[in-house]
Order: sequence, then C-alpha cells, then structure tokens
Amino acid sequence: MNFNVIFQAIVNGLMIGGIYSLIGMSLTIIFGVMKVINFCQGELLMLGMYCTYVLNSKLGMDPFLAIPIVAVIMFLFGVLLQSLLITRSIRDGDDDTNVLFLTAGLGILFSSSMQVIFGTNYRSVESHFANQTVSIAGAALSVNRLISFLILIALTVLLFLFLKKTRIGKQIRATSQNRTGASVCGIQAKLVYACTYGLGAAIAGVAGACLMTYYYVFPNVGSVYGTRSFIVVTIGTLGNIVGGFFGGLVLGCLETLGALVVTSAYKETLVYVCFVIILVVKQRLQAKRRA
Amino acid sequence: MADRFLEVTDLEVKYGDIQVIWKESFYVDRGEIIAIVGSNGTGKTTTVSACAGLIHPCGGSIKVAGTEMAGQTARKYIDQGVTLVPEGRQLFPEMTVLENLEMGCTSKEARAKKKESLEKVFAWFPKLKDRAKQLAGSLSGGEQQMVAFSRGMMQLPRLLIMDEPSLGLAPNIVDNIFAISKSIAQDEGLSIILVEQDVRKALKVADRGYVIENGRITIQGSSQQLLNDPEVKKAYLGF
Ligand SMILES: Nc1ncnc2c1ncn2[C@@H]1O[C@H](COP(=O)(O)OP(=O)(O)OP(=O)(O)O)[C@@H](O)[C@H]1O
Ligand SMILES: [Mg+2]
Repeated sequence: MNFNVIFQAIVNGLMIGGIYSLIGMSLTIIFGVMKVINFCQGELLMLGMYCTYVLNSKLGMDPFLAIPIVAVIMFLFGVLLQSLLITRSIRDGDDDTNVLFLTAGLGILFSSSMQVIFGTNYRSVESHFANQTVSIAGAALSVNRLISFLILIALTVLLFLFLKKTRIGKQIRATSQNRTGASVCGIQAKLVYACTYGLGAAIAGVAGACLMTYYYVFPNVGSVYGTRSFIVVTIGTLGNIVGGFFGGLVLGCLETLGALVVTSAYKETLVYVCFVIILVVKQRLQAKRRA
Repeated sequence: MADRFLEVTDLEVKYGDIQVIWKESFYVDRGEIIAIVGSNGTGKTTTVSACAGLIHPCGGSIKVAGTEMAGQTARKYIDQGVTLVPEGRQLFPEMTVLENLEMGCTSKEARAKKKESLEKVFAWFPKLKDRAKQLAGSLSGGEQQMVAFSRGMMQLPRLLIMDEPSLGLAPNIVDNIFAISKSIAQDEGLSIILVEQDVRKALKVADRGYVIENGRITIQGSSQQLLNDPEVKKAYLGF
C-alpha cells in the first residue's frame, strides 16, 4: 500500500470527520450544560438537511449560502423545543429517563413527519461546486467537502469565541461548571438552557447543510449520524467540546483508513472494534492517572 | 423598624413531601451582623437558601426592605440586594479568578461599577490580583473562599449571607474575611447573616444570634446572652 493511498484516505477521513465533529460538539455542549443526552441530535441534523433542500429546490439557493438561514431556523426551533417541551421533562431530583424517552420520541416524530411530507425518496440539491475537485499534495478532494471542512473550522473558532467572550456564552460555561454557583450569580437557567439547546440544534443544522452539498437526504438519515455522534463524544469525553472536535476527526479517519484494510462491508465492524479499543485504553489511562 | 432590612416570618420549607423548616421567624437590621448556628443537618443551609430565592418556601413571608419576596426568583433577590455566598463556595472551576469575579456582576449597576469593585477586591486580597488569570479550580481552599466572598461582593449586596465560610479553612484566613465583612458592615451599612458551626467564632463577630435545632429556632438573643446561655454552652461551646 503506498503512501498516497493512505494520505488520500486520511484527507477523506478528515472531511467526513468534520461532519462528525460538528454533530458531536452539538451533542456535547447540550450535555455539558443540561446534563441530558439528547437522543434526537441526528434527527436535528436531518431537519437541517431538509431545510437546505427546501431552500435550494424552492428558492434556488446554493446550499452554502443557505447555511446562515438554516442556522437561524434551527436555532429558533431548538429554543422552542427546549422551552415548550424538554424543560417540562427535566426536574431537579428526577432521574433522566423522562427526557431520554422524550428526545428519542421526538426523533421518531421528526423522521416520520419528514416521511409524510417528502416521502422516502432520496433527495439531493444543486450545488454550485458539484463535481469540482482540487488536489492537495496529490490527494484529490471535492470542493464541496473542502468548503464544508473549512466551515467546520470557522464554526469551531466562532463557538469558542462565543463561549469565551459574550455574556450569554460565559453564562453557559458557568452553568455547565456549577449550577448552584450559577444560580447564586442570578443566571437564569431557563434562558441558558434554551440558548444552549438552540445552539446545539443550529450546529447540527449547519452540519446537515454541509452534508447536503455532497450527500442526499432521506427521513432516516439522522439515525446513522446520531449513533456516530455518541461514538464521537465517548472518544472525546462527554461534555468536552475540544474532545468532540478531535473525536469526530479521529472517527472519520478510522472509517476511511479501515476501508483500506477490510472491504467496505466490514468497515462498520472495524470502526466499532477500534471504538471499543479506544474506550478500554482511555479507561486504563484514566484509572492510572487517578492512582 | 425603619432600618429593618430582612424580615422573615413563620418560614416553612419542604423538600418534596418532607418538611425540614417549621415556623422560623428572624430579622436583620441594616448594618447588623447576625449569626445562625446549629449542628449538622438542622436546616441552616435550607433557611438561608430560601432567603436568597434558591428554594421556594411553602409557607411564611420573606420581606426584603419592606417588599414581600417569597416565591420570587434568585435574580429578583439579587436585584433587591440579597447575595448568598453558598456553602462549599460553588466557584466555576474552569474559569479564571477574574472570570469568576465578573460572573458576580449580575445587575446593570454591578456591571457598570465592575472596575471599582475589582479594585476593592484586590485591595482586600492582594493575592487574588496575582492569581487573576489562574483557573479557580487550581486555587487553595482559602483562596477559593476569598474568591467566593469577593464574587458575592461584586453583586454590590446590601445583605450578604455567608454559609459556613470557615469550613475547612485556617483560622487566620477566616478571621481576615470576618474582619473585612465587619468593617464593611460598620462603614457602609451592609447587613450580614453568618451561618456557622463554629459557634464561638460566629458569636464573636455577630451582634445577635439564632440557634436552629431540627428545623426550628430554639434559642435567640444577643451574642453576649447566647455565649452565657447554659444550654448553648453545653451543646455548642463544649463545657
Ligand atoms: N435537596 C434536598 N433534598 C432533600 N432533602 C434535603 C435537601 N437538602 C437538604 N435536605 C435535608 O434537609 C435537612 C436540612 O439540611 P440543611 O442542608 O439545610 O442542613 P444544614 O444545617 O445546613 O447542615 P450542615 O451544617 O451539614 O450544612 C437535612 O435533613 C437534609 O437531609
Ligand atoms: Mg449547611
């Protein structure tokens, strides 16, 4: 196997991993603040894809240009979802099962609603850069994937600036680090939760829009990405945004490198085997650090 | 009556179905320091959490500067001048000392006066100025208590409630915080509620005190009276 093939696989892996990073970060930020695992994260990505699809097919908007609009729509949708529904299922002292069932149920509701509206057909969008490729150090790369990857980087930087510099961003961090501390500082948990969930939905939506530029959407597309997002946050430690960023890239590379070693039918198996190995090694390292 | 800042009447608090506070009544005047003492699990934290709006009482009244506040949010209490420095400090461990202090600037007024407040804090605790860029989680227990106290003072309180500030700290650090609080109470009319298990120390700083036993106020009076009370002596002062 020559170096070029491996390099190409890594580049491809990073591009796919970019999407995983985005969805992983969106899951992890919601968990960090609300201590709730959002089981419909993949479906939020799917909704972002349909949003992009509608903006493209009805208004002729390029998927990349649609991103800000998708982000806003998904943010508002997330805020509504949190403040109308999810907040009612989280009560101090309760266990988390209510909210797990609720979000899992919402996921099913979202995909079946899309099935009712759009049917089960695979749908794709017209993109300005479709079929264009660039070559980076010998590796061929579709322009759409490259732009998606750059958007991931930009979004991550923006997210960090937002959390570090803005007032609401600081309140989000404060709430995730110490809820009692946040409430004695007069931080309104409701507002922070709504914002965080909105942010998580918006990031998932943007991931969906990026994905839409080189993939197609169907009602159940979210489930694959939902599962992936759990792997990402486990690799990167749940609640850790930087971990989510790198976890996604690692997972992407695992997939593409794995496809070189085994036939793509077994690609999934290899991913999960690697995942288990990572888990065990991480566990050992943590135990060692504690000892 | 004109200078009564906090007046609590017949306070009752439940966690779920379990009642832990029964008919507590107490008050704090402007510039006054009161101590709330009692042994573990008698309801001190619960009482002061209710006075800061963190938990809602199921009965009774909490008047702050004459306004009924029972049932209001923590944010409303802060706007009325009530600040809680909670038990166990509750800092933001992965934020810097400076960021922690800034989180204390809740109201518009507090944000406008941030610079002056910071100067005051650094004058009280010069050590915090050196540590301003350090993560709060990496500070020693004493330094963390300084940050917790200072974060509370950044809110520009008129009533400062400190829940067990001395827990696990060296006496000189606690004395320092008490001395600073006392001088602010005298100079600026700040009212203070001090929750303590170290009864002797608390009553030395406070003007008056309340003893809570099993969710009820059982003994009250001036610090002198309490220090000489035979029951207090026997139960809390160890002779
Ligand atoms: N969140 C809660 N849910 C249920 N019960 C609680 C809760 N917090 C406290 N309690 C109970 O209420 C009672 C009073 O607790 P509280 O924390 O107010 O005591 P305390 O006087 O502050 O004790 P300590 O000196 O140990 O801090 C205890 O019996 C405790 O078990
Ligand atoms: Mg307590």
